[in-house]
Amino acid sequence: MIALLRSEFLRFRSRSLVAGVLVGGLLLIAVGLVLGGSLSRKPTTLELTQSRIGLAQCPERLNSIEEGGSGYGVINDYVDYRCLQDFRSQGFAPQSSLALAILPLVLLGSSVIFVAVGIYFGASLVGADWHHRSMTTLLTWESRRWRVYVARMGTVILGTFAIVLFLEAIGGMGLALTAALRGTLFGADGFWLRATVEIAVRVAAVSALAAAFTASIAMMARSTGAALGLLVAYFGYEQLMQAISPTTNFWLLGRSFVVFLAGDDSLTRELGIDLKASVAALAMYAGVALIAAYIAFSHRDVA
Amino acid sequence: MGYAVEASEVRKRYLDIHGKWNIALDGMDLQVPEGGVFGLLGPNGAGKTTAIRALVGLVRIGGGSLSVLGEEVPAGLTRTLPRVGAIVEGPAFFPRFTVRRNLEVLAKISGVGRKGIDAALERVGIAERANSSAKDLSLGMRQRLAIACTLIKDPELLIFDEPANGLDPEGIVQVRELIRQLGAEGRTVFVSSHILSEIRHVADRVAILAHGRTLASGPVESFLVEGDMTGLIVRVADASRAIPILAAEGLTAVEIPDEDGDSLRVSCLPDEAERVTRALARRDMYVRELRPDGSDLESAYLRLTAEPPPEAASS
Repeated sequence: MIALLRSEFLRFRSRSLVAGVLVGGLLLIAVGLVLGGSLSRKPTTLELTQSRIGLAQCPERLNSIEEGGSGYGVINDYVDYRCLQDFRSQGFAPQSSLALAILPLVLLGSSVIFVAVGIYFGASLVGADWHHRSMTTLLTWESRRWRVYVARMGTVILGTFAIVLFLEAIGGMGLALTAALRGTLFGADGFWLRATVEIAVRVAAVSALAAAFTASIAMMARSTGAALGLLVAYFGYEQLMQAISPTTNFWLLGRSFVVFLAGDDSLTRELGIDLKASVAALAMYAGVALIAAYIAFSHRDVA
Repeated sequence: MGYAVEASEVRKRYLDIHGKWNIALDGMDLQVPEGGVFGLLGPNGAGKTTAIRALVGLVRIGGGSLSVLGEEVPAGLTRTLPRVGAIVEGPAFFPRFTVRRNLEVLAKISGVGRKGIDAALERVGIAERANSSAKDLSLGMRQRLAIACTLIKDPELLIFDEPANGLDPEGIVQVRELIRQLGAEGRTVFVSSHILSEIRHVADRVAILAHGRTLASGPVESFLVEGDMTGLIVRVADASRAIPILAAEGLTAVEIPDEDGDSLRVSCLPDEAERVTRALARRDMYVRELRPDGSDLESAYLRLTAEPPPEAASS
């Protein structure tokens, strides 16, 4: 099994798609940091004082207007989290200075790109094997299909998770460096670090989950295009369902993705799904997709 | 004699999108002796590729029994596959990977190192293209890469499905030579093809498959000399005079109208050629040409495969 996993990881990292995403991601990060750094300046003492006052008043202001949500049982954590989210919009940081504290928001904002990467990774890394018939070759080396399946899916899911986390880490470190040189590290405290890591892991997990879904579909349909097409069709269907019945949407995949990704109870209330329900829905869907893909892979002839 | 492959009454059918069962293998029997080159000959759609897929466990058979290197398929595949190298329906690998990377990905599964990969590349003559992208290789080179992929396991049994498909004459000769060498090393090489000349040039033994059934099997020589022997074609100066001479010897001969009027078809066994020539020579009639009638691989193949396919069962 270890030998098969080694082979799969070698195949994974040899794919031009993986190299392309890594190089493209690093280039985008570099361009973003250079642009952000060139437009930023160090804040003045007065600006920093105003920011401190604004941030200090944030929990009190939030407590007066709303209650904590169920996803964050500890009210203080919830309030801190909302303050972090409002960091820029509420003027806690000087507008003309690049602030490291906005990193969680940057990660959440860029999650769409990472999820798209996960979707394409899953579809392509499995579908291409069927397209090029290299799955046939692989199965003439290893007849135990459960091993091939576990190695392949494991590689796709873990590989996607690792790549997204790596790009997030590089982006975060780049932002820290740029903010230290050309902006401010104000607000980047212990809570900020915990929230940032949590969001980065969530984004990577959702991207990996997206990869698991499309990889499962590609394994069943034996095609990259079919996996992407079916997912697009599903999201169209989901939009339709939401329009027809806006209240019964706890089982909708896209909404569960959004709620899990944001981990934000205000969003939870807005969408009508709490965090636990979204996790349960995603786990159920992922489980069903992976099991169905395994059954199809292990029982169907390879023609 | 030990058998590398044994198949008995193997059946396989597929359900098509119209709900109709298509029979791919209809009671195929096969015995491939260990060592040498065995050719599986049959027209397109005969069931050759399905047979190969069944041998390596890519498809599950619907009936009969199948064993490879003494192990039942699919139960014993885990033990068998490390000893088998197979190309199923042409070369298949990642076109954007280099030649070496394609081999490395597979070699890791068997724990084969760099030396094994280099040896396989040298063996098939593509070592100098090791760092080329697989998509940039010619069809012949790709076929050789596919063979290299099978060789890194150092297998006892090699299975090549239509190895000459799409190759130019030079490529065909190279692949043919490689197959002969592999067979001469004591490995068993199982080659399927619909090209008669390919099988005739490389194989020691041959089986003819059509409509999912084995129609004939045996050494290639048996097809070339006696396999389908039905008589002799004899060319003489005066065919009409030769007929009563042969009749006096108890041999039935008929004139062949479409062969310039001087040829006869004599109904006899191959070892009676001497009797024919002696009878004619005694009456001062000398044979200009004598050859077996319908006794070559082509004739056997064409006659055997010309039979109509069985009725497909409907669901």
